[in-house]
Amino acid sequence: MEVIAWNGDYGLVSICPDCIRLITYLKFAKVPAEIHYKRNPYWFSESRFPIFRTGRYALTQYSSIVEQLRFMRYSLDFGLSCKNCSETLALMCQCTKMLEPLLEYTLWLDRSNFEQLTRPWYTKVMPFLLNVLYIKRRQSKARDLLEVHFPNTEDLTTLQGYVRNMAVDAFSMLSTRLGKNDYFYGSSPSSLDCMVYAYLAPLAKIPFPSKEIQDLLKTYPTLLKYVSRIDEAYFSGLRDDHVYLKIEAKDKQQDESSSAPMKTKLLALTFVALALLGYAVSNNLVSIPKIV
Amino acid sequence: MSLYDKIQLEMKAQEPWPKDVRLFQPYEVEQILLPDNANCLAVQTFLKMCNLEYKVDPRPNAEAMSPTGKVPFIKCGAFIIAEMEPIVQFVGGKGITLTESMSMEDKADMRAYMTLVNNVLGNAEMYICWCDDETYREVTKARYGSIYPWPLNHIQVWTKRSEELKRLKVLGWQQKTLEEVYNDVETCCQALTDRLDKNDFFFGSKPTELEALIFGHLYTILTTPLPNSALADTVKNFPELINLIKRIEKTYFKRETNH
Repeated sequence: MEVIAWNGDYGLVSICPDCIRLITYLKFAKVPAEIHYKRNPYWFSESRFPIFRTGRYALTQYSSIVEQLRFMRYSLDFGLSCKNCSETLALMCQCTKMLEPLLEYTLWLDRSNFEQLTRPWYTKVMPFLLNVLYIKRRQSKARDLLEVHFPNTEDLTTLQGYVRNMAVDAFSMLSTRLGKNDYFYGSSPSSLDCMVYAYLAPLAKIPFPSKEIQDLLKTYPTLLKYVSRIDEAYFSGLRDDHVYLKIEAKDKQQDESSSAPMKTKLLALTFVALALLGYAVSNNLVSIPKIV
Repeated sequence: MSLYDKIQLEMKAQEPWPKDVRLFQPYEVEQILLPDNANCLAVQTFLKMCNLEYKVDPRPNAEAMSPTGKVPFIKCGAFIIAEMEPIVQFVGGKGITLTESMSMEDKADMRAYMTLVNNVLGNAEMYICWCDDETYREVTKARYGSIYPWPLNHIQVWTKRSEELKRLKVLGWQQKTLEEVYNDVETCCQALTDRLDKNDFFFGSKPTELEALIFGHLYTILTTPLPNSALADTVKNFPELINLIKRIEKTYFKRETNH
């Protein structure tokens, strides 16, 4: 059994929530799977992370991976009653509806976060050209998701308002529901905990340049404690500092101002050279020897 | 809008329920589609549960009239409010609510279950209408296009379909097979049955908007004739839910249907 996931940073086991969710599940259920951290999903035929491989199977969908694990007798929810399982399903639905757009917005659509953190991070981690492709693909995916949840909202400030309200809703719901418990159902983690941790941990730990959502989360100490409780119990080896990208507003700006025009210049030069060559060839100024 | 106008609006919003409230929806017999019908019925049931008067006003272009592009919507005095959740909030603003005696946790649970029903049953209905080829060809195309003249009927259906397919794709439903959709519906119904746990209603002894929503969806699924009846058959395997629907139908619509 092996799992291939995105590399982590900022004290997160992985940068991608789907990967965090799966890895947390593996840790909670004590699945003896090898986890490989990679930095380029296009290297694999599935072209997305996480990938779960066992025997002949290679799965990427979280639900089908969990199904497969349950088949192999690794399950988290054996101890729950029917009613609790039913509640878990409903709450997971609610979390997906609220937290997924929230995180997608914070990472990919919030302007300063995207320009100063997400884009440079992926640019640095992935190889050139593929990173451009990946960033474009992910951002348009995020835009589509937000468009589905908040249709006809062209204006970014209005959208920001909606997302903010939704964050308040989601955080207060989760903290009421969690109450004074260690986990959502008593003292041992369930599959709901994997999901909530996967969405809350990035919001709590990544040093976002625009701190609005993060400040909101800080007003719910129950949730922050919950995240650090899981960190201590299951991810004690992770360090909190940056690996790839240090967020310092000034450095960043200089970096970008020097690197961006360089790329543009190179591109322009290549284009001009090609055009000149094309012109020269078409007017017989330069002859290309024919190879027979 | 000036502060004065805002206060005026707020004051008007708190006025008692007027007598001339109208609920706009597409024609039930020849036009409406499965998911829209479910939502319209859910809102009607909710208003009936609150004992509020309303008049159904069928319009062929209800969808285009709605401020959010979705049916149903109600016109209450100066206000036009579309879709279930905003309507529930609006009615709540007038001090009329079905959930006053519930604890915070129960309210959070209720909202989670409403999301579950909307997500699974709502998207399954959408899938059947727009993704399933047989239903699309035989039912959806004819009904959705029925109000437009040629060639507009084809163009409108085509535009709407591409919109809905895109939506389902983003939500991860378009990639599912019909079999997987039925499985999801079954899981959802099982979860609802487990939560109901042989009680009359989900939370205490009175119905809430969750029951209204479930009634809207399940009743529509059970009574709408489709080329493939597998969706209705899936729901029929849950006698507790069927009984719940019968109870609500008898209390609020004063009629009985054999499911």
